[in-house]
Amino acid sequence: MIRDITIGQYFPTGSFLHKLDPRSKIILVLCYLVLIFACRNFFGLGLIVTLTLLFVAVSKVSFKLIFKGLKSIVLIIIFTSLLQLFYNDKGDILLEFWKIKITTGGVFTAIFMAVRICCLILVSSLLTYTTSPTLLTDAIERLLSPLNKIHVPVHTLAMMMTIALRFIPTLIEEIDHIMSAQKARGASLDTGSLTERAKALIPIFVPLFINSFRRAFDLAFAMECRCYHGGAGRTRLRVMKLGYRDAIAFAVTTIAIVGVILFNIFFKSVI
Amino acid sequence: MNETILKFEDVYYAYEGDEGETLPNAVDGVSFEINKGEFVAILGHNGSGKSTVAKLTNAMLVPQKGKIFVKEYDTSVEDNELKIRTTVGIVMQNPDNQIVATIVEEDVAFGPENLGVPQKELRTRVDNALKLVGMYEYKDYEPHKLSGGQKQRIAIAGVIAMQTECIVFDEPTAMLDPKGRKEVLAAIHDLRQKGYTIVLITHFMEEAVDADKIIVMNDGKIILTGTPKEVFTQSDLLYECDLAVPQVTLLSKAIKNNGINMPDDILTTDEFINAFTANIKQKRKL
Repeated sequence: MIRDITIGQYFPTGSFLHKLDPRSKIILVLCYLVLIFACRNFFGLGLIVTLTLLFVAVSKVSFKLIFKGLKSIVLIIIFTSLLQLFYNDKGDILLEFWKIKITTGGVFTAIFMAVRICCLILVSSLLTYTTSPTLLTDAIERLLSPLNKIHVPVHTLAMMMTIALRFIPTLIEEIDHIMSAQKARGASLDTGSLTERAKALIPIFVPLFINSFRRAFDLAFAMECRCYHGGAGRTRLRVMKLGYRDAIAFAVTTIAIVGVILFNIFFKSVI
Repeated sequence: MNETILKFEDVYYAYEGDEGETLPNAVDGVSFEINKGEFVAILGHNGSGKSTVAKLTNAMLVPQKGKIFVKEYDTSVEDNELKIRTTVGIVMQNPDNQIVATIVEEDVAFGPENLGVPQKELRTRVDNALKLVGMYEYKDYEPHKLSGGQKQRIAIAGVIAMQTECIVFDEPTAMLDPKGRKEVLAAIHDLRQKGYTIVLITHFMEEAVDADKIIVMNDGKIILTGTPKEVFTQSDLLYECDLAVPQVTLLSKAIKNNGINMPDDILTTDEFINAFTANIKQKRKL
């Protein structure tokens, strides 16, 4: 049941994108997200769509998987697009009946909205598809390390994230065990009214909580045994080094930024 | 050669109850010495104080009375903590609860990373530790995809990577299936060959059969110390402490009680077969 969640999944295909430094990936994704909302006409949008599809192709993650991820947000896309279609009254009128007026402005914004959301989801999910969670937290820790100077406990936060990630599969397994155990004792989890079902979850979550605390104590013990004393003086097994791949990625992004800015200046914006 | 690595001098420890009251002593006047390179098994049923002994060995707990020395370092002196924990490492019972990182090799690196080992040396330490427990091919795996025995071997590698000289195993096989248990015991025996000092805390008698020394605990006290042969021949005393002597030992004792001549100190199936066939052959000659 809970195993079906795919958000933040990682597909190790060893592609160009996988080999990029995770720090530059985070920065580049942020750049693209800004870019997606900065472009104001179809030329810019075309450039972004081309690039996004190019990234998807380069990542070697199967199209099927990626578009399956998009499927879950189709409703949101349709909803926002329809809202734009009916409520935007800029531009020429294309169709008018009863109280509804559809204008060119409405159609354009609707298309823009749909494409933007798709690109947004694609680019950001590519980040998690091509970067292992460990690397991601590691990169976030390193990117945020300047905040240490103003006494933000960056290392502690990153450590908490790593441990949380580490224990998600363990806890899911545990939930499965507890559910089977309670079912064996005659608990019914899938029948009854909503409140009854919610109540049936209590005997699952109480042991889960108690066990989690026990695990936490054990883990703290194990960490202390292995001389953990916070972030000070720690070294790292993994070194992060910028390479020629990162240079290429940054060059492509710069071109995209310049392109979108030029398109915005020289062509009329449609939204 | 006989350098002492771990020394308990009349150690007492009592936990505090939920309401602040002192519970009866979990460890009650325990003294023993473990030399470098020895393989010592500490036997005891649940609640005999053997896990508390494990926590005392690397200053996770400090005795209320008595002294514990790891090499020359007193565990009650706070400044010695780092020295002690890089000498004595602990592998716990639950393999899931001692793995910190989301990737096998990162978890093995966790200890040395905390010690500030430079990156290059870190790499060789991690690789060597993983090779030693036979888990090198799994270095990029996520721990939750491994079996219990494999996870436990990762935990062992994590301790080895810290270059500890002594490893304390606190019931390392209690939560494993027979296959995992076999893997972990094989890894422990490998380490013994490599010269590590090993303290194996367990309630499985069979695991203690080839130890250099066995310490039997009951109610926080040591009731028996000696070689496996010396200890297992005292089956009545062991029975009183809720400990089961290996089945072959019991079997040969039963046969002896039926009037057939069998030695007292049979611990393994091989020894039993040898003694028993020798007996039969002798009978035939008569």
